[in-house]
Amino acid sequence: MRKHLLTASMAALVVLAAAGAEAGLGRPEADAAFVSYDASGCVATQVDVLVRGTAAGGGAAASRLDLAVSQLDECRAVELVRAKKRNKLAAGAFHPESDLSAATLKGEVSIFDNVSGKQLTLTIDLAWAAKEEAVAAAVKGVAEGLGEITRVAVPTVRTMRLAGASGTIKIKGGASNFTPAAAVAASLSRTSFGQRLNVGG
Amino acid sequence: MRNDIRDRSAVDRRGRHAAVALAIALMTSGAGTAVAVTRYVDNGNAACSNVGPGSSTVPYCTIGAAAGQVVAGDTVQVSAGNYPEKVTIKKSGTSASARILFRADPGVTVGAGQTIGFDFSGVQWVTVSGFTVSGTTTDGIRTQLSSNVAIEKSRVQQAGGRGIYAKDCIDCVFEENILDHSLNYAMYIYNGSNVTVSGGEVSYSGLPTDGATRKGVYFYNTVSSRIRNVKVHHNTDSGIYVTSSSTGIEVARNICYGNAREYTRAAPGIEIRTTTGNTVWGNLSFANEDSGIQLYTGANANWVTANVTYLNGDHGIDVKGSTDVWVIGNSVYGNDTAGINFEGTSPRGIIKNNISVNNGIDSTRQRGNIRVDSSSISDNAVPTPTPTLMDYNLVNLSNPSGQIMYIWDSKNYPTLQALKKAVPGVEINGIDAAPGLVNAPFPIPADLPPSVPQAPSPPDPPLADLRLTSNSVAINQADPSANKCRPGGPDAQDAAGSVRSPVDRGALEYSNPYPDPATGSFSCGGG
Repeated sequence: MRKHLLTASMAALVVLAAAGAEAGLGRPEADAAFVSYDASGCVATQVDVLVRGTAAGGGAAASRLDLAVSQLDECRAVELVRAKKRNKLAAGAFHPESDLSAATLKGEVSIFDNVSGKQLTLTIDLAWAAKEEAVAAAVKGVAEGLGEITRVAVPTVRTMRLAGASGTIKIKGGASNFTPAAAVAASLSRTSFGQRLNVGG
Repeated sequence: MRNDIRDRSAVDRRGRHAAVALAIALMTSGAGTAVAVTRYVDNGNAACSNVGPGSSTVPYCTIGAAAGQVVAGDTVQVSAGNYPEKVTIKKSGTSASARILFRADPGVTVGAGQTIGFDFSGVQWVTVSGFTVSGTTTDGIRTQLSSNVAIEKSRVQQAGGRGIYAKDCIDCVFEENILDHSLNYAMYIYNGSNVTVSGGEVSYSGLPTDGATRKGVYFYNTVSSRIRNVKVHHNTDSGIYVTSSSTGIEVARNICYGNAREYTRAAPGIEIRTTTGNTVWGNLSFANEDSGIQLYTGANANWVTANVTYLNGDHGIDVKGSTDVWVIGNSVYGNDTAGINFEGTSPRGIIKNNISVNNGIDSTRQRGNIRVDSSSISDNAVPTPTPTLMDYNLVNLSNPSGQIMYIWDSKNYPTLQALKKAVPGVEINGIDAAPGLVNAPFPIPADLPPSVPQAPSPPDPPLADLRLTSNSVAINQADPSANKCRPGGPDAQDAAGSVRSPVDRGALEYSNPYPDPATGSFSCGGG
């Protein structure tokens, strides 16, 4: 009897290990929320970044970037910039480490500014560095874009590391940086659809 | 089924074989088969031990030790005392009926000197109830990648970071908590879905100096969620802030006052910025440094209904750079500048059924009870422009001499009649008359906000009472077809929860006696 129980125990451990290994093939993602004020304390700049690679190619394949930039002089109630767009990025623009310890995002995107009525070309050079250990969980929903959190229909495992993020987002050829301060919140993650994870008590 | 830990101990004593069988059963079929127990924690008990068993006679010394042993359905009962530890929760419940519950007796304090008080890492179905988290160096309570987490009846104070940080939290509930004196945002909800913040109090986040001001409750990229019945005051920036693609957020029946940066006028009670599809309903927002309710820069298609705003340092309701905003059935009184303000290209709005009185008196900025600038009266679409609709509002100036009633198309009108004459089709059913309000101080009190007590505080005395008197001209005078929470949505109740039929102008239906808001069950059907 004892032998059978131990065999079952080992089998269970093998299943769990396999699930963990497969989870490593999931879709890599990084997000960051930047908020900053200029020296006057009046001009607030918000930048929202959500970038996703593909499960098959990780960061080496083409990725998708959701980017929103807004800038407002809160003291004078004057809007300066408002732009939001989903962009496809070239292969290699998003480069996450496989262990989610770090990632970089470098590229150039065109985005329409609703205030000036002009297309802005932004150069992006951001870096994420994990600040905490990875947490894995079976999740009920996934952010598919800014303001798009989709309930998942299949078992899904997400692994996430809270991170710091910093770098520059500038209008091409300009000096002004929309992200002068480190992100107020950021993470690196990987989502594996069709995966199960045994968690809990 | 719940049993004292002593029952679990009896099971354990049956021998090693049984223990191995139990362990394998847990690994192969989940934790739901385990017998739920109550585990005790009491660091004031000389017999306490972190190796267990966690019985009432030999409790754990730390909450963390108990957290490491819980299974689905367990309760961790913590006795009064100071527990200067970071409690990391990695074990999950399995359903609503098999939650893991961490429950504090009165007088339990956690987290002093630690980075975090409670840290939920990838868990489901866990509740924390009744704790005080105090003096953490970063966030007081943090959840990441979790669902069905509930934090209730707890206090988070003096956090060196955020009071509560919820990252990627789905179906989470934060109920009846008191959050005060955090250096960062009192509550930061990032990538949440179906998150409920209900009851309790949020105050004194940040510091009133340049670079250190912080908003009270911050919804970031969060969907289908709600904040209700929370008292939000004396934060050093916006009291409630919904932004960054958050949508489907219901901001309802909150009381927001005294939020202020102090060194510059920029903190509103409630702010919706760069995000669409949210409902601001039934709130009371007064004596804030900036506007009572503010919709800024791309806050398109948001709905502001049945709110009471008064004596704020800027507008009562301020819409800027935002299209398709509904401002319907609100009561707006005695704000420093124009009471209801649409400016900076905010066309296709609807401004109906409001009471807007004694706003912008002697203002050197913008006067008027209702102001719609030239960029906001129409979208100028070709060939058929869509106008901003303004009708069925009740306006009045107690002393109209030298004041402005309306600004429309950036032109000043001292009276309703002057507006109607100059602009046919606008405010056809408008009324200019003393509205009959229970307590609307005039002259307008000079200085705001009220005093700065220490949180949690008793309610500041109301500075005004905008309920209607029995002879009010607003009674039964609204356009009932505009009484909606949102396009296609349910009929809006008033700010006190009364069904609106027939509909009075303003936020509060006349009633004798008025219902007790605390006992009502209200909904705008959203969030």
